Amino acid sequence: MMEPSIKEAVDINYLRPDKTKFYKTPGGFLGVIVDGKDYKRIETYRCFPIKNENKYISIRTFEEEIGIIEDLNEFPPEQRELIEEELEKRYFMPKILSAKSIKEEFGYSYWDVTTDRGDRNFTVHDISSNMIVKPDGSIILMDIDGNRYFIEDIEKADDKIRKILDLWL
Amino acid sequence: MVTEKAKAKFVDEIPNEVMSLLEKEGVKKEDILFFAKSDLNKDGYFCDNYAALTNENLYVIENNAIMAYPLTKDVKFNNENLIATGSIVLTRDGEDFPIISYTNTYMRKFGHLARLATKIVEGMPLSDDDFDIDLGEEFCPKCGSRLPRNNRLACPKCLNKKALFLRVLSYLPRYKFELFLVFLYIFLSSMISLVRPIVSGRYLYDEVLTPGGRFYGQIISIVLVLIVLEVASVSITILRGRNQAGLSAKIIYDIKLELFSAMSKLSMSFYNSKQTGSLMTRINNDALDIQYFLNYGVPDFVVNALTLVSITVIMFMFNPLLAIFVFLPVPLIVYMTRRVIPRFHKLKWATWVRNSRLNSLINDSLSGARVVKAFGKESSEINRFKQYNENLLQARLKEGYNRARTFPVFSYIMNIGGLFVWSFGGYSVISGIMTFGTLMTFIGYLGMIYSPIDYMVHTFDWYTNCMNSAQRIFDIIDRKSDVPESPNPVRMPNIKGDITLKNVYFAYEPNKNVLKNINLEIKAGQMIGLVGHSGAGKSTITNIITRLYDVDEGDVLIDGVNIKDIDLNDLRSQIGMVLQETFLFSGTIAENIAFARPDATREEIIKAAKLANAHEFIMRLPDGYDTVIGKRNTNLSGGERQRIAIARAILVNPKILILDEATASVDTETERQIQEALQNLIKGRTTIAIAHRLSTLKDADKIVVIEHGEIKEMGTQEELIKLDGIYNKMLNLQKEALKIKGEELL
Repeated sequence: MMEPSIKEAVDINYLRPDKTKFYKTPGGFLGVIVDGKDYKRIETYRCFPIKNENKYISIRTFEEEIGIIEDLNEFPPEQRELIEEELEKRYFMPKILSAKSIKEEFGYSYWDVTTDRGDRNFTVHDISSNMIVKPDGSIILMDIDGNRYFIEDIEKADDKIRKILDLWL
Repeated sequence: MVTEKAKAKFVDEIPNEVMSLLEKEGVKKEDILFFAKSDLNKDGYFCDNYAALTNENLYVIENNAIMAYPLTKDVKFNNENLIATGSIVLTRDGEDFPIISYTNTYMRKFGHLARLATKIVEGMPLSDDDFDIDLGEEFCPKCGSRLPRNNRLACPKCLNKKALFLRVLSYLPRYKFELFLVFLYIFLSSMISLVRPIVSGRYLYDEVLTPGGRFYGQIISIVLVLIVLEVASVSITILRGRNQAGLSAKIIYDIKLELFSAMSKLSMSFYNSKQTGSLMTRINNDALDIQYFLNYGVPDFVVNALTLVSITVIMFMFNPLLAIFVFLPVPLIVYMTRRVIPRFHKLKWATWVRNSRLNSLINDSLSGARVVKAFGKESSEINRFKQYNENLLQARLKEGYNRARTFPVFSYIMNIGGLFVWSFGGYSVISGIMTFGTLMTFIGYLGMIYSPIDYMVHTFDWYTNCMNSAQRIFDIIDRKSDVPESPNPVRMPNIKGDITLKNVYFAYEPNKNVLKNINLEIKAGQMIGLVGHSGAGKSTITNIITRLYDVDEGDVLIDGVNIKDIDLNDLRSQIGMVLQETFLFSGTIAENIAFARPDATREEIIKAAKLANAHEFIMRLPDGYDTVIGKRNTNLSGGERQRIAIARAILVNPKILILDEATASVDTETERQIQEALQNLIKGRTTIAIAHRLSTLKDADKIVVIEHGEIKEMGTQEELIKLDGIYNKMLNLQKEALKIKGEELL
């Protein structure tokens, strides 16, 4: 293996729709053909997962980066859907729709909620350090296992949720 | 062989309906080696699925359907981690298939399942050791909530507030005598304040000023009695103040000590997850809150409760009807208290949060002053501060405005009772039902009764405040260290220095293994070099050997004893560390060298400094070894600080020495001096050295190349050069780089 030159290491290899074709593997994973080269299993990462826009998506094998998609919206819809599905799997983050009960005690809060992925019980320690508030008013919450939950709009959220999160906003 | 007992804790979790599905497939319970529940299906919806492992198959139960995956030689099982979820992926004929998914909550369990399956596939025998692991996830037996990871014994949700309150009170009985005095003074001053209105009301008007009274005309006597009561009351107040000040100092000493020692015992992961600023606020403000509550809150509560009850009794004895008028507004007050106080609790909390954030910012900004100045970012830092300060201001204003609005209303409501007493009482006196003296006594009590009620109102405030603080403080005190001391630690005052790492896996965060299957044998007295890219896991290996963290799986043995069983003090006192970033405490150079061994003699300190090549520069300082090091070590260069750290390590005379990039931040000349110092240090000790400059490792007995948390190459320098792998490539790159600088590498 040759060490990459400085230029190779620094330049961003943008993947454009005309030279890139994603496909599904028999196992349901994602593969890609770039400039005729077939990468059988790839992983998709967002460079800015918290911003969570369809921009700067890194396409990687298990070892290295193949390239970056600058703007996913440049891709045809069926290609885009493949990648979005994959991204959704990686950044699994159920959306909290309503709360049945939230109790806080001794620095831990216990959430019993309904999400768009079903009902869920989880525990958050020290909300202030496990909550990301985004400028648009949405919130990402991390439980003690590192699972993430999304609250779309704190202003419109359940009273129980607002009551507990308001303290930290 | 795997015994039933070893696997029982996993196998016993199988629900009946799942077991019957498995039985339909011909699986007997005793065949099952490992069982795991998952909480996610492959489409990313929460639901209960299961996996069971036997010697022949891996069974997956999803939606009441069962799938069997035979453990044949041609398949591979992998636990693939995404950000918050994972899947077991089966590889057959070069094609990957996900067979079961789960969230991070079950990551460790399924990771273990994949490893066990792989072992069976590769024909390796399983033993009880494979099941002797602690997989973390546990749920509260009472309410089913996910238990906090660091706090496994108690489910905080199922503990009640009463227990918390009693626990706070438990600080008091340690000072029985002081406490007895406090309550004695309280009792005496309550008595005096109860008697006073009777003397100045009933006796003065009815017996002294009224003709025919028992003490008619004896003005001097009654004034003297009043003066005595006044003096007694003031003296008792003074005595009580003194007494409480002493008690207060002792209580806060206790709380801070307990909190600080609890924090010191916690593992590194705690410090990494908390900002220091927030910690400082926590220690100071929270301890203060509890102290106030114990010292003033509790005794004052007793005083006020006592006063309230006795006055009530006396008032009803004098004139029940009038007493009822006095108490008319009380239900209203209590109602308002219950409605309004919780809001204050929240506002206070918000202020606390913002205050703590502001402190963190100040801390950050001051520690990073050099960076801020270097990039000319002072004004944006000021803006950032302004914004946080503004947030705090808003919270404080909100709290203050609310307070200003609410409490006058409270007082007004209370005063309504007074108006009733004046009108009804005045009428009674005029119509001769009641004496003027009784009315005056009543008025006197009236002035005394609302202040306890007012106090009770505030007590709620105080109480919630204190409980919040107590909650935060006990959260730290109760936190179990991630590296708990074994209940029966093995004393090892003389460690030889053999280190063995067996199948070690470790992750700082649940979904990212930093070390994967590390196997490493280090003989006593050997020097091992760890090389690899930054982030490869080199420092993590040293963190595990020093037991700053515990491994997730596998074993670390020192002289053949599991590190978890070794007395922590024995272990740490025989490990020396020299890190890239040297932290010197404020104090003299001598104190810093003797940090780990404060009993060291001056001779020992000088000897250590000489070995560390530090003596010369220390002697050039005007204050020599007594030089006080500034808070941010500004008056010593990086290399000088490094050599003080080496002297510190030499003085401990450690059996195991860890050098983590000890020379990375200094120039070549200084490096040479430090290298010399290190040569003196290394002799006769097991040494683990991490280095980017490979030249510093040329004498190592073994060089270990780490990449992505795995050992890629291992051997002496010659062997690795011959191997022509990663190490050789790194060596050539460095040679080339140094050639440009005109330096000789080897």
